[in-house]
Amino acid sequence: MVSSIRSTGRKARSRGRFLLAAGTAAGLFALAACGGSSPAQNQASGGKVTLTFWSWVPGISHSVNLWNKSHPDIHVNLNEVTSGAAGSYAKMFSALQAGNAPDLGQIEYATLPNFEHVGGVDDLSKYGASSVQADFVPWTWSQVTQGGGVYAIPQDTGPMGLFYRADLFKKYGLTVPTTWAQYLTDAKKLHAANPNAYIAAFPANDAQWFAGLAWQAGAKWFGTSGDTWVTGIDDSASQQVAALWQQLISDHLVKVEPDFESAWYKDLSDGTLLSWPTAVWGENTLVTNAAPTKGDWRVAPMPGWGGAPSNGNWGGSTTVVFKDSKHPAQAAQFAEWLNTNQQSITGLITYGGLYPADLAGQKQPAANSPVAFYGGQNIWQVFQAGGKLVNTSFQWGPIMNTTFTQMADGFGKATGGSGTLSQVLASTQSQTVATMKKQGFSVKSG
Amino acid sequence: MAVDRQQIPVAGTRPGTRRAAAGQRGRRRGGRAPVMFLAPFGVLFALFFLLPIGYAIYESLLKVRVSGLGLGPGSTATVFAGFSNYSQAFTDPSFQQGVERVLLFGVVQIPVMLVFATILALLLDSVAVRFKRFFRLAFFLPYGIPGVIAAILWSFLYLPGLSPIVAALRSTGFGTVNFLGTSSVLWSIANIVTWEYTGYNMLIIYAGLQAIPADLYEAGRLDGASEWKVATRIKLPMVSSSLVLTAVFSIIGTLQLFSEPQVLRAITSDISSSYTPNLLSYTQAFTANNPNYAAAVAVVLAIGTFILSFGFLRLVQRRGAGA
Repeated sequence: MVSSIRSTGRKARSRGRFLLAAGTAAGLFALAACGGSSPAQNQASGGKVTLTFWSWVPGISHSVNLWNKSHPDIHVNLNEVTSGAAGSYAKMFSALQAGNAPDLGQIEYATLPNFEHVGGVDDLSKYGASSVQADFVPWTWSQVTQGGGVYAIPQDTGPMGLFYRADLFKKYGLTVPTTWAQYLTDAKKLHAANPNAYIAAFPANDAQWFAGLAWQAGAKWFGTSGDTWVTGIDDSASQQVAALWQQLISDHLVKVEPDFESAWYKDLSDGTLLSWPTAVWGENTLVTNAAPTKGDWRVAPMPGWGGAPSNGNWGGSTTVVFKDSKHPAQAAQFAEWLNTNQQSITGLITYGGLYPADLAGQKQPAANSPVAFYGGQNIWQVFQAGGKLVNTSFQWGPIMNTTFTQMADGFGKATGGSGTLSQVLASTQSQTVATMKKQGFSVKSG
Repeated sequence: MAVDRQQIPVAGTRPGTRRAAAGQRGRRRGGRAPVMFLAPFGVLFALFFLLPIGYAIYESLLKVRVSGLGLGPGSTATVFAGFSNYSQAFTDPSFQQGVERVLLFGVVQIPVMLVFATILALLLDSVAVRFKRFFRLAFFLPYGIPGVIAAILWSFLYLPGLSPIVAALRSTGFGTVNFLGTSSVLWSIANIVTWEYTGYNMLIIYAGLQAIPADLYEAGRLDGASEWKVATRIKLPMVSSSLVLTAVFSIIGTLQLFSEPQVLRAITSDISSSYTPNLLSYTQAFTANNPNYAAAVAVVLAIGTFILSFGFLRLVQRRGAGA
């Protein structure tokens, strides 16, 4: 009863494959063990520079080895750490506080402002990082820049699409929805035909999933005006999304259950759930965890809200250079190479299951070929087009982890019968503003 | 109980003790041996107990102060915060709800578990029982399974759609029982904890029973006491100190409730990130990146545990003295 910890928090969203399995132990140990490897290792011997890199992407060692072979003067030492939310962020924060953070690290988009706000990441524009801007999907670049500063190099992305069971849609006579209104109609029709089948699950535990949907609807949760944060978690776009899912929940048209858990996998496999609006990396989640449904799933663009087509993003991460690095220029050079070199990207796609932020990378055969599991559909093209529609003005706030926790706690209560999703957005908004004010941020409601 | 044991011999041998102490003082002048023997304990105790506690208290008095957008170096600073983290804890509704929740949990779960443990221990100790070694091992076995593993195993028995228990209840006409709902999940956790720790507490009580001299039973039986009378009039009073010990351990364990709710959080949204005080502290430290507040919560929790455990001990002792 006393003190073992299983990480249950949100999985790093960039890839389904491995993080879901990596759900054990470690939070406290990660912190306790901090300060092990550090810039102390960065001794230049005979002009040779050694850099330390913390990452949790499976198989990223292939790319690092490629670099080490082609760059004998800059050696990168890879430390394979647990995913960010499972303990590595805590470890990075405390290493920064102790002044012995590694040279390079893996950080998700949503957590990047958190690291910017503790002054932990270096501005890479000093080392010419702005020159690679054109290589990347536009929205990723706006997420890694702040004013004139470039605080990270984008690595991978999670543009969203609608995964659906083509066989069951046909069986129940449902049309593939192009708008959310049609999605609701389909949900009603399905539930009338079979009360034990649902159009989708509502994962109350997963605020990041909801954020992706709100992003698609045109929400603007955070922004800055001068020296002040403007927070709009309960803006009209977000409320629109909340209203739709509240209706689906109230009418019992969706199944309320946590995602990435055994019961949810089972429902995806046995036809209880007919669709899953999710990011590109969900492709691998289904292949791995819903194997019996091979050939039954297809991918369509996200249903729209009626206006100009737009999309949201869920997950994806970046490579940063920490402030403690003794060789920031060389580290920046590696970060750029890792995410723009086509051979390196091939490795990230093949071994890591990433969908690159690099535009040329998205055209590689590894991320642009028909997939047998999806009945031979080239699902990547949906995401390639969808990625270009991702709203570039969406920004993350400086205490995103707290905001997500507050929202997920609220969703849990609402689906348990007290309150509505709409009220949760309002309370998350006021709690986030209050928490930020208490910490001294200059902030106002948008 | 530990206090109990000390009091009796001290009362009986006071002059002797004083003499021994005097002798010790005399000897200490000559050698460093006692210090040497104490040093390993003292160093480790200071390093891994006093120092972390001191550091936690120190951390709990600080906070991070942000200015403006809080972006870039120099916009955040760690400053002395006095007791503001503590006042935040005492006004934090999620902390209060967490404390109320574990108290409710303890008031129900601890008595249930200890009654079970006592009954099992008495059964094992009775003369009629067969396969004693087998049952003793079987009762104790759940304690040998790590808490996290136990919680994962139980989570499969709670999950609708996977659980044979839910399926069996449904097919026998009890409807769909939700073990993970808002009002039921606390008791599902209590069930896991009871399953895990009953055997452990049983063993402590059983050890107490084994230490009772057999002539007491003989005397009882000569006076015509039945097995039931022997159990209630001789055995139970004689193991009361073991019962107190198990109760104190259970109180401490309950206030520190963490791994079971943390594991079950993955399969239900009815366990919030601040469900128990320990979970709140964990969330603040590792999700919200606010170790200062987490330290304050931990210190409050430690003091609360201390007060409750020793309060319970005093209460029991006073009643024992009065009887």
